[in-house]
Amino acid sequence: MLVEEVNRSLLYKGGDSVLHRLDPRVKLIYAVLTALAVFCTEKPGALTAILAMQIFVAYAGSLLGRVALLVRGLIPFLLTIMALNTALIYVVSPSIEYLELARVFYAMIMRVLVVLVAFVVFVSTTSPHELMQGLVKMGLSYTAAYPLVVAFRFIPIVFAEVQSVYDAQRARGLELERGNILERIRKLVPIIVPSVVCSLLRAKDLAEAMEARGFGAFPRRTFYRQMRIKILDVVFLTVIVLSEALCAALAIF
Amino acid sequence: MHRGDEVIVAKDVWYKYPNGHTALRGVSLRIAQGDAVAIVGANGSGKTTLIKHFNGLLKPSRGKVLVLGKDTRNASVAELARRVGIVFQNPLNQFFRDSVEAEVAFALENFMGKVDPERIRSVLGELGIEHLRRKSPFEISLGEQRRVALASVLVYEPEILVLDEPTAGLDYNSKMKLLGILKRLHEEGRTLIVASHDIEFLARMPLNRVVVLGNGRVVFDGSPKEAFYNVPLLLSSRLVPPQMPELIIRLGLERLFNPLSEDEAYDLLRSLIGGSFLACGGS
Repeated sequence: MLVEEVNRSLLYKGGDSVLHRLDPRVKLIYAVLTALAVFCTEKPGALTAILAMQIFVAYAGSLLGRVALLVRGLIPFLLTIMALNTALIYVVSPSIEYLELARVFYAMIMRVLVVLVAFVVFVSTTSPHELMQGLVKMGLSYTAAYPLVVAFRFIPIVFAEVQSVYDAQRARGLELERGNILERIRKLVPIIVPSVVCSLLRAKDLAEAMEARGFGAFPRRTFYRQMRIKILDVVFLTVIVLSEALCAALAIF
Repeated sequence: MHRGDEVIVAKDVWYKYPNGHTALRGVSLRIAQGDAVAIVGANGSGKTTLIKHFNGLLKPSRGKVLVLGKDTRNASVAELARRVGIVFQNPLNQFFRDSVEAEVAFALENFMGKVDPERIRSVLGELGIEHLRRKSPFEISLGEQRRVALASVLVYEPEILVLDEPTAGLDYNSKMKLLGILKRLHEEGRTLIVASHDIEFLARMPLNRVVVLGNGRVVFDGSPKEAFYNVPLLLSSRLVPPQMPELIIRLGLERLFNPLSEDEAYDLLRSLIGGSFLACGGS
């Protein structure tokens, strides 16, 4: 199932690879820069080079399996977007050449893949707590950063909840795979409503438990673990910035 | 189907979740029509995983499960669920409509294609929640929500009824009501399967079998008396004997008699000592 594959590829995976040891701030900058870099150019060569680099980074964290899983899970979604894009291109410029169309598509696929890999690298090797601490160190107030962490933490819980809801409704005779498209969409209601209700209740319980333990009592807070930029971080960031800037620059000039 | 016919047969069932965790490791089990079976085990022993095999929500990775003679691998969930009703632990996982009545009608719509309001009313009446008919399922108590979930399955009269942790979070009064309902269903000859670690509740249920799961295997399959007087077995499932067996064991009388509940102990004492002596106590 699509949900299962996407879910499994986006969970934080504990470990001790080079990527795990990087500072979360550095990884965040890496993910954002990479996403920006692919939108600076449309040249196939430059995009391929940037993707190759991301694959190397993912390989260093032995995350290629996860990337493959995510790509496989997202294929139906990607195909839909490509079909819509093709239709749009033909509406705007009906006389487009095949070669040009192929270039547009190649750029599109490369960009999606690069962003996906960077995202998987970031999410798989940065625990929600590290992310929060990184954001707070970057100047965000912790009351604003915390909901983000909670959202991350809730991803697997919500997926499990949706699975339970789906099981409970199938036990009462719900069959999603039958009927025409409108009926199928209507049949999602018995899945969506309980899932949303359960998530809201969970969120309310969590908010109360956190308040009861003094969350938000002071404007600043300390952290048990210290966070410092190390040599490894500087090296990683320098290599990434230089090579991505080079790719983008070569493509532009 | 006659009493005693095999309705569920599990043959060397293994189940491995997609995340790699093996929850069942060769479970074999036969359940007959009219049986009342408790499935007991510590958290993570595989109770819920096993139950989900009974209506095909999960298909065995190895081995097979036959439900009313049909291999679950060749049957759809809807087809099996029509005959095996499962009530899951969290009623909020299934409520999506704005009245109890509509909620209970859901399975009828799916299985029968039509709704019989009389049938719904009578099931709600049997469970003592008819007055909640027009209320939202979200604004009633947990005990009532559990009964609505039970009603939403009972309403289409499945031959086999499976309950997953039916007493979790219920107060004493609600538990006793549930017990009364289960007793009646058992007397009607319905096959009951209850997964639970509420040992006091199980001691009061009209069970004819207890299956103990440990680490994905059947570690015990026998009568409730054998199970609930077997202290090492219960400890291995992080349980202790129900209070009546506990008392009898402490008194060292377990070789003489094995009552499971106060009612049974009372009847035994009464027949041993004679009615007149106890009658002096008042009742």
